[in-house]
Amino acid sequence: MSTSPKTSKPKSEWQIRTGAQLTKARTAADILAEDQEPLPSILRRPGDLHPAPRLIPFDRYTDERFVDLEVAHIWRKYWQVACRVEDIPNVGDRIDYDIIDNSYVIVRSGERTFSAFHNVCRHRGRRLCDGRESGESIRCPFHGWTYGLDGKLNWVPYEQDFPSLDRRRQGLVPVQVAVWGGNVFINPDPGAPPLQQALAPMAQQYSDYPQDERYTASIVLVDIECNWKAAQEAFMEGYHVLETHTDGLPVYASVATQIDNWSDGLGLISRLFTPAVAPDAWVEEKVSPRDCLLMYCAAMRLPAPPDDRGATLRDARRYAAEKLRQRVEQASGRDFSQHPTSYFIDQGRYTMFPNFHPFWGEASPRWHKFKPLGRNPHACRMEIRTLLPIPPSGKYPTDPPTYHVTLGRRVYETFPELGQAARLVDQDLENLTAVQRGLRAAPASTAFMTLSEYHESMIRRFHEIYDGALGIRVGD
Amino acid sequence: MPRCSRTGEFRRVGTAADLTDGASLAVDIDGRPVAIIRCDGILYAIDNVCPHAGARLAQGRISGNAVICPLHGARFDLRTGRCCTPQICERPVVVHAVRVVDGKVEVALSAEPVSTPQL
Repeated sequence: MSTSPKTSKPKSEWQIRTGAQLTKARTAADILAEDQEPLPSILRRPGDLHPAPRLIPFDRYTDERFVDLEVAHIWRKYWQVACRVEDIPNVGDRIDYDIIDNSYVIVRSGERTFSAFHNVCRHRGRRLCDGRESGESIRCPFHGWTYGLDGKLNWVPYEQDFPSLDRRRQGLVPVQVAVWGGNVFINPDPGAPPLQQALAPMAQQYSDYPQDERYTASIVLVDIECNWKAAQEAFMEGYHVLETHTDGLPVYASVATQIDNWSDGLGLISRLFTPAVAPDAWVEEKVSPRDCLLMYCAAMRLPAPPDDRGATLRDARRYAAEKLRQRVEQASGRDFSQHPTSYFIDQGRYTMFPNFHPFWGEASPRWHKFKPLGRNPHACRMEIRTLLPIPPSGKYPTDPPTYHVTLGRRVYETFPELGQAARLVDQDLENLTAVQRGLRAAPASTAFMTLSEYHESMIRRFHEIYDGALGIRVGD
Repeated sequence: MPRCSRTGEFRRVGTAADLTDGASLAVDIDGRPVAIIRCDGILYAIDNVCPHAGARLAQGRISGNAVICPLHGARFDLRTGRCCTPQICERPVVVHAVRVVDGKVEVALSAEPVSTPQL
């Protein structure tokens, strides 16, 4: 008895039929012009880089050789987020940060200062810190060697048995550490330029929208059967919304996504900007501003608009922004009246090479970070932190829930309480496992990427930096 | 005159003055896609099919005496068709004879077949 073929996913009512053409579409600037407000400051200076075509072979996603190349040229050289300040709130608190085989300990050494070291005892190499710990000093659980919060070796039991040891030269090996927006970055390369340079121009763009006074409301760790680079690339374009997040077409103008790549500072910053509460060009003829608003409010759990709201694009965006602003002001007790409509609803997603993706705005107040899962090129861990404003009282929940989705599992099935956001990430996860399998399976003659001119230019830019970092010259 | 094997006659494909320096024109000659490119005043004609992955070379940027494929950056010398980036592609692109008569561009297709990606 034959059975009918399994359909891989339910058909969405917004599915774009094969062969459909899109000849013109509004830009992000067109949509923002409808707001009749000054352009948000983050959009005033477009990117100046247009990455050249490049051969991006698949082996960097699948071959173990690249694990070591990345350790030598990326993980030991570039600024990377190790933790957040609220992870180690008190003097003496510390937390580990592991990347492949290296390990670091980040310490709150003073009220507002941090130190960071290789997480290895100078005696016989034992790993010192596991997870979060606290204390006036850092004491090795093996022989009791004790280091100060500044890394200095303060006590060696029975020191007379080490007559040639100069404790001053046997402290923990420091690594550069610096903070931006409450994120604690480390850089193992003592010669690396300061974080401030690496953050340009992102730090400047955020200055109208300070991120420092926020706390982690939740952490979601998703282990994915996909290379860290391939995984994050899925989030570095809006092109996939049409097929992967089809139900998003009526509420996110993904074709209008603006991509910017900057050369400022160390040239590590790119951004995609997608207007929300605006139907995508593929479906705009079928979706009125009010329909769009109704769907957006349902998805974001906002109060539905009264009959007289949302008749125009301007008012739909305005209404949604008002409700989101009310929500964040009620939750935080802070005033957000200075911010434009766009800040509350639109998606501004930055990427800082190699793996940090902070979001601008209050609709999705979070960041993403992607890390290889050990020496396995076929697996990574995505960290999603939701960050909310700290109330004026200064009090906030200090022990955020951590949701860990293990390899092979899906977010919604593991944590249904995460709701719509979980379903959205699951749509990406469906793809990513299949992407990695395809990358491994590709015949040599076609084992390279073919990228679009504009919408996938952040990915081109990533590999431009990557090739430079690893010393790969596949072109001239 | 680029080195190539001649076949058939010269065929009129366009107006020389329409092509400014660094510009390209994509034409179809008996179903064969050809790119006419002006570089430093001289006209060249090559297959409009990159031997690497089949991209339209007419969309590529001109640099020195070469066209850079817009998909993956392979470089082809316009005079000989040779690929200058062997790490990307080892085969040359076919070049055709081109001349200007009475302000019109004429191309004689090479006897060599189109070099397509070997899958």
